[in-house]
Order: sequence, then C-alpha cells, then structure tokens
Amino acid sequence: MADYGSYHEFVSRFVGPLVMGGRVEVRDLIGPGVLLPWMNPVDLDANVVTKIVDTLRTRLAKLGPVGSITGLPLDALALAAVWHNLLSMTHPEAKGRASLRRKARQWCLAMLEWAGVPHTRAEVSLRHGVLCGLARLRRVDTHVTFWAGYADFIGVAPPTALVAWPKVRRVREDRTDVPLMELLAALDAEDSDPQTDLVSVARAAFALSPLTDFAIADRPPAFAFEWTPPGVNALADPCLRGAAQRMILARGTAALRAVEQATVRAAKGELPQGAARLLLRFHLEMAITEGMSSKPTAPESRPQSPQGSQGIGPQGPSLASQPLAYDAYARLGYARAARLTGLSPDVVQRALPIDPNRSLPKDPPSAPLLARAGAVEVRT
Amino acid sequence: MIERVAQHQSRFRTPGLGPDARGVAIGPVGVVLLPSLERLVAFLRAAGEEGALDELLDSLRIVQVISPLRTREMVVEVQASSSHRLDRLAAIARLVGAMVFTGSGRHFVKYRDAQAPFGYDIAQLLDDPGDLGLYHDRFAQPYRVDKDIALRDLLLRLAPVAVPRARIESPRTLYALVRTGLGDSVVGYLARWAVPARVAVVEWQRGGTSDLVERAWLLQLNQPAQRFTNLLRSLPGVRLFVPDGERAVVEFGHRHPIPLSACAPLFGSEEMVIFRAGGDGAITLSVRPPFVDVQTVTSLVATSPATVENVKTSGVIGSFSLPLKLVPTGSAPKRVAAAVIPLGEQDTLGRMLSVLPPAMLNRLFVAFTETSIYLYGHDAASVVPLGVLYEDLGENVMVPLGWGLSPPIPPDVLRQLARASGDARLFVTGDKTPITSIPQSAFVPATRVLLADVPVYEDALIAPPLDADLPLPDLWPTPPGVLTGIMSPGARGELPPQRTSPAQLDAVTSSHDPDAGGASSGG
Repeated sequence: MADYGSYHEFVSRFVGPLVMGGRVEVRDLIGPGVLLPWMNPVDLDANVVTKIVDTLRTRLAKLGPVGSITGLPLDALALAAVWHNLLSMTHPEAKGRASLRRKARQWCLAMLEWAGVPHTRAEVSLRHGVLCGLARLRRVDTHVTFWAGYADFIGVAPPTALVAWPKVRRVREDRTDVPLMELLAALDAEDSDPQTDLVSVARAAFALSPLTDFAIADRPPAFAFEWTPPGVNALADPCLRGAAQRMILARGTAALRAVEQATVRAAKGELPQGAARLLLRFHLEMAITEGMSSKPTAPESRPQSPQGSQGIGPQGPSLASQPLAYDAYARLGYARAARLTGLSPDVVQRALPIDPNRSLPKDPPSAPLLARAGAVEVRT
Repeated sequence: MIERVAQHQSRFRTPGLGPDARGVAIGPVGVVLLPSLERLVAFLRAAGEEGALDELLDSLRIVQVISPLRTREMVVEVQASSSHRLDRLAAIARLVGAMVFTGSGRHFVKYRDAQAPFGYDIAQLLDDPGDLGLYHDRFAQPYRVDKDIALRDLLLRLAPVAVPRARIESPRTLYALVRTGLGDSVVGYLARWAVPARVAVVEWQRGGTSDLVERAWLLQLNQPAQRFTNLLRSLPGVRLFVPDGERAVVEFGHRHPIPLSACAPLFGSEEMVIFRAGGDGAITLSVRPPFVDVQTVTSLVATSPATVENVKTSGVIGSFSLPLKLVPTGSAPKRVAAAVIPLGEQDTLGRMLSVLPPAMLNRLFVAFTETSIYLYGHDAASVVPLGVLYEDLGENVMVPLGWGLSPPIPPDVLRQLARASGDARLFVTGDKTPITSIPQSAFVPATRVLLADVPVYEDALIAPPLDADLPLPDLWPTPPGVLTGIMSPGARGELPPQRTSPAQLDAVTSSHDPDAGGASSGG
C-alpha cells in the first residue's frame, strides 16, 4: 500500500488525479508531521510534478493570465492533505468512531493552522489550482448482485472473480456516483461533541482557499457558502475578483443565489464598511457582466415589460438570478453604479437598462448592504 | 645443523624460541649478520629509506664480532616484537646480502625463509657458542664480541656523498656557514636586497688533537631565490647546507649515507649537527644557535661620500632641423592597423560597416574629427576600401601603407620629439603639419556609433498574472471566534513539529482502513 508520508506517493496518487483527473486514491489519515519532510522532499519525481503544474497552469489560465509556476506550494499541499483526511473520514465505517474523528480533527486543524490564510494573489490562485478538482470529485459505489447473494463496494471496484461469468452467475452491477457534497454530509457527527466535529473543519478548509470556495458556492445548508475574511480580502484583488465572478456566473443560478444570500446574511451581521463596499461593487460588477453577456438589445427597440412585472424585467429570465444586485443597482442608479464599478455610465446603461415602471418592494433585499456600505439611495 | 619447524610445533631446542600468533618460530631478539661496515651502512640506509629505521632505533645495537677465522663482521641486534617486523627486516637484509637470525641469549637460529615458512629450529646446540652462536643451514659457528659501535658515532663519522647535479632540488630553507671575515659583507648584501634571512655566530672545537676553537657566521635563508643560492655557492669561504630532518643539516649538493630524518631521536632536541662534505667531519652544536634577522645586525651608518649638490644638467642643444617627410619604401608592408577616411565618405562608410560580419565589426574602433574619420583595428581596418590605409610602425605610430619616414627615425624617438602623450595615436600624414595625434580615448567601438537613438515603446501588461506575488489587502480582519487559531495571521510562521513516529501513526490509523475494509458482503 502506498505510504502518503512519501511526497511522491501523495503527489502522484492524490494530488495528481485531483488536478489532472483520474482515480484519486484515499488512504489512511495523514498527520501534520509529514509537512516538514515535504518541505525538502527526497523522493520528488520532477516528471509528475511538471505534468501537474502544466495542467494547473492550463486550468488557471482559463481564469486569468498566468505567469511561470515553478512548483507545488507546500501550503496548497497541506490543504490537499486536509481534504484527503476529510475524504477518508467520509467512509461509513468511520462515522461512529469518536477517537478516530477526534484525531482526524486534531491533525486537520494543525495543518490548517500551519497553512493559514492566503496573503497574496499567488497563494489564492495556486491553492485553487490544486483544489479545483474537488468540484468534480465523486465516489463510485458498486452494488453487486450474483446468484448466491449480493455485495457492496464503497469507493473500490469489485474483485474480478466476483463479477466473472456474468451470464452464468447472473451477476449484476449497479454503480452509484456519490458527489462531494453527499460525501461531506457523512462528516456530520452523531453526537454533539465539539471535539469530533469535522463539519467546521471542512468549512475552514473551504475558507482558506477562497476561489475554491466560490467555485463550489452552491452547497447544502450544512456547508452553506458564507463570506469569510479571507474570501472578502481575496475579492479586493481585481484579478481574483474577475475570476470569482466568472466562476460563479458559469456555475449558474444556484451559485448566484447562494452568494447573494450569504451577502445578505453578512450585511445583517458585523460587516465592516470597506468590506460592504467591496461586496456591493462585486455584486454590481457581476450583474453588469451578466447583463453584458446576455443578447445585446438596443434600449429603444427593447420590448416594454408587461405591467406589474416584478423586478427589472427587460433582460429576460436570467435577471432574476441576482435579485440583490439588481435591486442595489436600481436604487443606486446608472451614474453611481458606474462610479462604483469604474465603468462608463453609457456602458452600464446599455448593459442594464432600468425599468422606470418597476414596482418598489417593501423590504428591499439590498437595503442592509447599502446601509452597511454607506451608499446613498437615488430615486430614478 | 638446523631443521624446519612444522606447523603447530610447540617444542623447540633453541632457547627462547616460540611460535607467534601466526605460528612462526621467533625469539625475543632478532640479529642481522653483515659481512662488513659498508654493508652495515647500506642496510641502515635501506632501512631508513623504507621507514623501518626509526622504529628500530630504541632497541638497536650494533656490535662488531670476530669469527673463528678472525674475520670481523657486524651484527645488528633488534627487539623482535613480531614476525611482521622481522619479515620487513629480513627483506631489507636480503637486499644487502645480510643474514637474519632469531633467538635469545647466545643462540640464534636462522629466521624463516621461503623454504621454511614457519622458521627453523636448532638440531644440535654448539658445545661452546662463545659470545654469540649463529646457526644457519650452511654453517653454525660461535662469534666473539669485539666492540659495540654507537649508531650516533657512526653517523657523525660518515661523510656526505655528492648528489648528481640533476637531482639537486632547490631548497626551501638554506643554511650558509660563512667565514668570519666575509660575514659583514654577506649579511650587508642580503640586508640590502631584503632577503628573508637570519644570522647567528657559531663556535665549535676543531677536535682531534687540536684545541682550536673555530668560529663562523651561520645564515638561515627562507626560500631563497635561485640567484642568491648560486651567488653564495660560488663564493669561496661560504659553504651551503640544506636541512635533513629537524636537527641536522647536510652540505648543499650532498646527502648523508643514512637518512638523518629517520635518526632524529639520536640527536638532542636543542642540538644542531652540521655535516660537512669533503672529509671535514661534522660540527655538533650542542645548542641551536639563536638566529636574528639580518636587518637588525646591519650597520646603518652611511660610509659613502657626501651627496653631490648643485649639479646642473644641460640638455641637448642644437638640431639639424630636417623636415619630416614620407618617402616610398620598398620594404614589405606590415599589417594594416588603421584607415583615415575623409568626412565626406561618412555615409558610404556607415553602409559598409553595417554589412560587416559581427566578429569583424567588434574589432573596429572609430574616431571622428572635423575633417576625417579615423578607423582603427588590427586586421580589420583593411576591409574598408575607402581613404588611406595606415600600418603600425610600433609605439602607436602609423604611416601610410607603402611609405616610410625620412629621416628614418625609430617610432619611440618620434614620439618623444612630437611630445605626444602616452595614450595618443600618431598618424604621420606628411602634410604641412606632418603628424596628427588622436587620443586613444577618442576611439569608440564601431558598434556604438552605427545607430543614433533607438526609439523604445514601453508596452504595459494588461494585468499582472494570477500567480503574481501581490499582497492582498486586509479589508476584513479576521474576528476572534471558532477559527481564531486557524485564521490568525501569525499562525503562518509556525512550522509543525517533527513527524510523529511511525509506531504512533500506525497505532492510531491501523484500526481504520477505508479501502481495505470497503466491502461488506451478505447472502
């Protein structure tokens, strides 16, 4: 069995498939003590690392310009080790074992603490480059029925002898794909002991890689997307903000809704004014981006919206995906939105025309955010 | 007389003989029988060269013995601590035609050889062994001790032998024994030349029947230059010595018959022995002389006459005032070093330079004046078919190709007459002002002057790359809470502790193996 204390084994069997695609091998728990040998690995296979880095660069290049990546940073590998441990703990047999969960939590927290929050644009990007495959990760469970009974195989392929002679032995295989979020649901502890809680560890692991956090924003309620200081600080970087907007837009309506709801929750809490302004700008830019990517229509030739329609309306059904952003936009007006986003007012107006006949909701969704950001409402 | 020792034999007739760890029969003492004094010296020299002499010195005893036939032979006794030591001794002894015995007391039997690898034992002891009974496979005879010979006396009596000239090496340290009358002069000479040398006065008794005390200066020179060695060697009254070991010096060009470096324990730690060649004997200085630097004993009093004052020098007065002209010369042209091109040809020259190969262009230097362009470059200026080609007379004096100076004065004299500065190149044009001087600093590489200012457009990147090392702003500082320990900015500097021991890791994780325990079957 592969020993994940070895840098080469971990990189080639876990990190490599996670980045490049393929079969990810989950083994025993990895302790934080491996990080020190991994700083100067003695068994580094440059070919494997080069392949992974090339794929990583290709993936990141879809988000923005990428310079020269020299290797796999250790903080990203530490996060990968944390995710490995969390995946290892999703096995059904590990659910009720409190001592094992306690040890996994302790080790994961130690590695997360060592990795810490990302401080630079490169750290945010490279962490996402290593972990971006998490969104596509799924476990294949196999239920095999044969003439004498049945067998379940969780995450592993059934042995060849069991599925041999399928017609004679009346073998039937049912494969089930379990996506990542269902896997993470298994981390929920049966008891309420905080020492065995792995859900908070998974949340922290998401938070420490902000781009990955945005990329999988549509998560079940237990792991619902929340704004965290590392995520907001990453958005302050224009390049990362653009990448996050494109990823969320590409993910679809569910992700957009999850992010907007998180913004509303954050705005109702203790959100600093600078962060609130940044989130406002982020949502406005995302709305304008979506408006610009829709089918361009001249304002005068655009069909009038029917009377009594909710929302801004003229852009079609996609506009309903960002109610918070559109509400804030309508309340601020073209000019202020353009000034906030640094765009030309004409461009903004063409991208998102405001329907003057829209109805005003009694409880506007963007009110807490605008209040937090100190933005003045303008009646248009 | 003697018989071979069998393997595992433990009883011997020879007194003191016994098997060692390897089964070789040896006694406590080894004896080397040498037929003459010359062989003894050869044996000691070979042992010294081989490095075995210094370890034998503590137990070495040289005895002159008399055989029943009244011949005098030499015996060297050493402690036979092991058969390994005796094997080395026997190898050296065979080289000089000596025989090796072992035993104790008065009976000594032949040491082992190829025929008897475990040695020999005496078949029958001599009735009267005398002072020393030696048993060989060819003889067994008693010897009578004549006298002991001290190795130190032997060393002092031996005269150094000359070394072939080709094998003399330049010494790192040189000693010179200088007669008293020459001392001041030699020391003064060395002091003036700042030679690293030290000097001491030594005295010794002539010895023999004379009570005369001789006196000389002893110089010690560190790494002397070859010319000082040659000079001192050629001086009568000066004898040169080179160190051999730490406590002895041997006359330069000679060597002692026995390596003195292996005999250092025979001389006292403060002693210095000077071995002179030519049968003059050795000088033993009981105390190493106190050397002092030659600068400290040199007299600083000026003995020359008073400095001459008020001397007036008169320059060369008068000259013939001949004009400097260029005349055609029939001598073979030298290499073209420069070309002088009229300024009107500047564009043509520029186009020619632009098509030259880079290696050629790198060797060309250009200077611009108001009327001409001076092109300089050995083997490179000739490629430009413009202007007048110049050849180098030497001393940076150029004359047109195929022309010579009239009067034919050498270039260095011409430079002096022209009062040209050291870094100027002189071009003899033969005009009304026959020499044009261009400073060397005016010549710049031709590659520099080919282009005027090159316009540069500084293009800007659209955005820095994603992996740029740009710090993120801290818009929302991390609040204390559940993840305080994880999110705190200072947590980054802490490295994890050393990896836990494998046993501990196994103990924790062996009970759970998601893959191995992945199958649960029923039915």
